[in-house]
Amino acid sequence: MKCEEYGEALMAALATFDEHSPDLEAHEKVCPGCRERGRSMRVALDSISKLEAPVPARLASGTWTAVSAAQPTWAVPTPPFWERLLSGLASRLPAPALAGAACAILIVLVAVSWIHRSLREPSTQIARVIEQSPGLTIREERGSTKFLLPGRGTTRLEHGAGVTLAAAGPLRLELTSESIARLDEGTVAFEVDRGRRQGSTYQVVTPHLKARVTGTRFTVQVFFSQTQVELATGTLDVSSGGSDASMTAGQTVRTDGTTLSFVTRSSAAVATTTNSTASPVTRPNRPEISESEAPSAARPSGSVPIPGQRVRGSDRGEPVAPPAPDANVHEPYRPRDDR
Amino acid sequence: MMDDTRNGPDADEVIVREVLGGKKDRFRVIIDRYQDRVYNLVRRFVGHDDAVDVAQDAFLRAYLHLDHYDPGYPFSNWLFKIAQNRAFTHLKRRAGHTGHPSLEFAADPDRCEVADVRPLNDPAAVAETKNTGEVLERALARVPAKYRLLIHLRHSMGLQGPEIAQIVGIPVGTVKYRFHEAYKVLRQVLVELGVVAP
Repeated sequence: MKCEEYGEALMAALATFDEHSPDLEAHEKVCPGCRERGRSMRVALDSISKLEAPVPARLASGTWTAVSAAQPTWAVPTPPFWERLLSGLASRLPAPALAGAACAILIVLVAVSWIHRSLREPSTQIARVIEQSPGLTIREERGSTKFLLPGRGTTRLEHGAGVTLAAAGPLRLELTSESIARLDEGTVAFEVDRGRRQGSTYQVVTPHLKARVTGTRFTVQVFFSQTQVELATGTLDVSSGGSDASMTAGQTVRTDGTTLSFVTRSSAAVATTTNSTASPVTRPNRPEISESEAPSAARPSGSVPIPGQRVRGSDRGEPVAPPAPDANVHEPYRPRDDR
Repeated sequence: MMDDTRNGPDADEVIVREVLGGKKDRFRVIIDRYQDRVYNLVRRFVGHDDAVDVAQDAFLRAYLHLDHYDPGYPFSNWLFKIAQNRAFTHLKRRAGHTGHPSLEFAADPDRCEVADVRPLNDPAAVAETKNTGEVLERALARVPAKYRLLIHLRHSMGLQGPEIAQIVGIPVGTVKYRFHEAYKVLRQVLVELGVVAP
């Protein structure tokens, strides 16, 4: 190797990561100049590794701040707190301890639920049973109370404040809120207190009819195919099948859900004029609205008489006969505007 | 040298998996582990003033695109490639925005860019040169960026041919060829500076 070739050979040896080329070493042994050239070059290259500069302290903190604030597209949504808590517990606690903790939590939850239910006000906020008949089933559901009486029997209830019900079975009655009674089956005598009447209306809903109370005492009977309402005192707005009517004391209406008919009460049977399908209604067990002429306000709340009971203040000594819904003579319904 | 980064619970690939799984805090280990190498790599191209910003940008890019990392290759190589790209991008942007005469060719990695454009044989510059380190810094600054990158990866970071090829993105044979060219340029500069014998 000639000295002119040494430089190129040195560069080639360095580039091939083979700094110990025999040819180079042989030439360096015989040529001090080239030996110095090679040594100085290698020293310079080795010195490059010592050129590292200290890293400013703000690099790590600034980088971490930027990374913390970044929202990469691959980022997994942060699981909710309870999920992170459970996963953390699962990774730290052994399985038996975890199972024990779960059981303890379950027991605490059941106890809290039981205490909460026991402390909660019973459904008397919506309805309260004044007199209970054997066989009466009370089902409390969310926002309503159902009264089921499969056989004969009577019961007396207080619905909210100022409404007293005397019901006779078989009965399917549901009281919702404090102002709505849904009667699917049975006979119920309602007495709505006057004070309540000023504040809000009271509604009785049957499959065939909706009665909006503006009066004080009335009886609703629900049969398979029809509903009959007898108004003892005050006034009552009823609607059925898209028709509305206002009842006055002593009137009776009957509807099958499509036709609303006034029933004329008389000692003798009268002819049906509008609803020939309405058959005479038998009422084997009907609660009583007091037929005494005393205004309802004069009677204490909850004193609606029930069948088989003597009406308080009545001198007859016998159950008072209700209005006769079985009269099969109807007056044609006249719209309210015609009156 | 980097055994702890290849194996064990603190291996780079394990940490990357954990970060992708939602343990964001684990990326802090990556930052602490590579901040010096990334910083010095980008400093070699952009200088002291901008090195911190560019290094931060490199780490942030790596974090944002962590799902693109291929675990089949060393994480460090992937990170250094990002740092190298950010440094070159920064050089291009800086040259375009400032129009500084000494930087106007910085966008071309075949050219060199230096803040000190005085001739190497300028007596004043030579007088300011206090030690070999400064001389080498000045010499490296005069080497084109693409060669400087190779020299830095090999002699500062201790990487070998295949790793350098992976970072730079060229075949190993091309790496050797470029090293040959790089050493010739560097030697010429060092000779002018009087560091090595002509």
